[in-house]
Amino acid sequence: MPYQIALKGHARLGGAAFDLETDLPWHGAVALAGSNTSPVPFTDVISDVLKPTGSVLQLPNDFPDLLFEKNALQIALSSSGVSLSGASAGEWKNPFGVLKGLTLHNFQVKYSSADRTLSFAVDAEYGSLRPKGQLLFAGGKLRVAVVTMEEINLGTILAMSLGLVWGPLNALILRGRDSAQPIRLYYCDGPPYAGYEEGFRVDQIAIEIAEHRAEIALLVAGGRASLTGRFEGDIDLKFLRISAPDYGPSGPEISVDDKERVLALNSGITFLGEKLGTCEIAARPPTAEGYELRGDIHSQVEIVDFKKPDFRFTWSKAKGFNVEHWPIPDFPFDLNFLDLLNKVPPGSECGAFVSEMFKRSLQSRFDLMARVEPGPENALRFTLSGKYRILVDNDEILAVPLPLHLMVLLKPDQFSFAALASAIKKAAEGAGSSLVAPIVDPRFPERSATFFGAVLVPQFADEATKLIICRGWSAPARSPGQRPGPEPDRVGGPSAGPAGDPGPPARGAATPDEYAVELKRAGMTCQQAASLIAGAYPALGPAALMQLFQRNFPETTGTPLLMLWALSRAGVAANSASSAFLTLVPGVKAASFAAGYHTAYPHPMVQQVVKNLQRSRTPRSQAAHRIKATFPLLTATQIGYLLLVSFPETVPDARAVSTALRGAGASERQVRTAVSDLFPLLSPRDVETLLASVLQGER
Amino acid sequence: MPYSTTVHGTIVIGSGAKTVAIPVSTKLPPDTPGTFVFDYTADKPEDTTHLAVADFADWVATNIAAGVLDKSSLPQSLQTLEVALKALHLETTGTNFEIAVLLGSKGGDSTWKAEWKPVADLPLTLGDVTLDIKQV
Repeated sequence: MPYQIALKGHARLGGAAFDLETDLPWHGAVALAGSNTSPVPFTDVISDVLKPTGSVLQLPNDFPDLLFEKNALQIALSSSGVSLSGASAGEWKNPFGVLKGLTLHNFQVKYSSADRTLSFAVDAEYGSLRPKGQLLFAGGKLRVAVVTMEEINLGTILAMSLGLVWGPLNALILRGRDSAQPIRLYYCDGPPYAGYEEGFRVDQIAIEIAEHRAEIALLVAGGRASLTGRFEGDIDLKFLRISAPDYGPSGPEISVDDKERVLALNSGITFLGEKLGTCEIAARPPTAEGYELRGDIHSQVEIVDFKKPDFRFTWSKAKGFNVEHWPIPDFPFDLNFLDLLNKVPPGSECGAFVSEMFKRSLQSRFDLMARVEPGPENALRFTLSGKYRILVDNDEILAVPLPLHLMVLLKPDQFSFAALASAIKKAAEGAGSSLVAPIVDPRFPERSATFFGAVLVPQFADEATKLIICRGWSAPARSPGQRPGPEPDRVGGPSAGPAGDPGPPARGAATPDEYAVELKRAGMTCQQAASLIAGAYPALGPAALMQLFQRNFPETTGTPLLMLWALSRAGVAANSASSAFLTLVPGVKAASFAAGYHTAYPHPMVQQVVKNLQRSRTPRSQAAHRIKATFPLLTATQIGYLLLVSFPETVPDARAVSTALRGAGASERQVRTAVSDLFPLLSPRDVETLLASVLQGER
Repeated sequence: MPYSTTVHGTIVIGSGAKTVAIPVSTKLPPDTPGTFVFDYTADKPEDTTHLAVADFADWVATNIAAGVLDKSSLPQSLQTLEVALKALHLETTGTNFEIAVLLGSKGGDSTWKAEWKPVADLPLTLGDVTLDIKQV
């Protein structure tokens, strides 16, 4: 007959009795198991079992009073020690007073005297999430409260635990490192313990930026959050490589704080094969199109022909790599002016310039502004605008706007600065005579005069001037008293005409009046001719200049504004101009004079704002708007004047002025007045036609 | 005048000098014809004669069945204890036997207590430690 043998007994822990029992025979260690026969507090039981270990139970003040109901706490007793397990229905909100928004409940304790480990498994609520969690003890001290999640939005953590909003970063989706290492959101009380860093952290987070994986951690301290991490390797976009700041084997660093609210990649940049130094790149997350990387590159090294590249780029998978403005100053490329000028039509019937006419020290350098965007077949397309500067004996004598954009396509096997430099030079060569066309543009006669005045070898100046005149271009002025034709005593002497010290007019205009007539014949208004005349005849005072202008340019000096404008262009100071004008025209109406004076000689603050707009290359429409917004009392005529003299390349004529003024909110009447004031050669009918055309264009 | 008939006897546990005599009795006629049922429950088991656990195990092996209580499988701390009979149930059919003994020892005050401290470095003492052998 079989027999059943049982060993029974009872033990007391935490003031409660536990019934224990086991069946015999035993196989291996004896193990009695049982449970509490009456409700017992967690603290009482654990304090009892910890006592022989020398540990003292230490719980934060906000830890709940956990009670194990009858039979809820299981005890197992063996030769190796005692183990406890059981569940309590307590609830702990905002654990440690730090993990705000987190609620723990259903505390499932585990204790083993063998390895002296005490822990809780807990269920948790965090917003709409129901993560699992743990409470870890070191001895008897509760050190870590942690919950784990597969995925969570950064915004949820910030909102739940900090009440912060990080704008677009809120949408950042955080995922666990892998299925075995989910996201940990925890607070570790005291120094690092069991793989947990001190404080409130969220770690084991993986994110993906630009198809590259990075691991990050969120640290919350002092009511602020910061995020740090690192990519597993470089982000290699072929033309652009984003590495660690020290270009080491690990990838770029990631950081963000609640001030910036944008992911920042602390990187070492390699662009077109050149290491340009460190760069902080903003990664703007995450739209349906993925991340957009945005970085300001300030090269710490000088690249041949490109100085220290300095530009802002953006990159996204959808839109590729883009640079709006990359200034490439002082790019060296010497134009062959001889060939290019000879190719400007019409020229064949006048004869050709020859190399001896031009000084050998003639150079050109380009100040370019590059726009970069994706090209076909993974190429980069560079669109270059800007100007080139002409230098003689290393002195700049003229700056010429590029009449068209230079286009460069850099293929993937050409991603180098050397290839880019070569391609730019080829593009400039390909532009041909159009590059020098602005020099001889009849709308800007002073350019031609200045250029030829500076670059011509004196011995051949007259011969060259004949060619210039024949082609209908503006010839340089000649020094007063100098007669046309070769003058033996001046051959080999100082150049006949750098800008500001021009030589005499080519066709024998020995007097200022003759020169003025010549300039007028070339199509200049008094305002256009004023600086040339003043430069050629520096001895002329304000009154003499004014009389000269009145005699030779009555059509374009008929109002106080027009005369003061011409004096201004001639370099006459405001006080001198005012004094001369009031002396020579004593009967002028005060209002008319004041309006002209304030237009031609703007207040220094106005001048300063306009200078800033020029420097920032503000488009004309915005320039007009900004001027009007900054100085709302300026008239349309005053704003039109500022645009005309300060932005001649984009506001060269009456139509451009009209369009810009309309864009700045000027009424039809105000535009009509401004155009009539500033363009005296236009008839009222012309003005009306122009106005009608501009208004039509608006529709 | 009615009469009752009782059968008395003694069950001896142990062997040699270390035995525990258990007085048992049953009234006649038995509830089930031909079957005597003997029950014994000690009032104060702690105060009765005690047997070493090893001796009790030997007795079990000899008188009940070999292998029912393997003393070598008991933890050392349990082997040093003594047993005190707590209850016994015996039926002459041989199909329903149960014996419960307390396990304990004399403490510092020379008082025998049914206590067992299973793990030396744990302040956990089992009280009312009972070994129950039951025929099933």
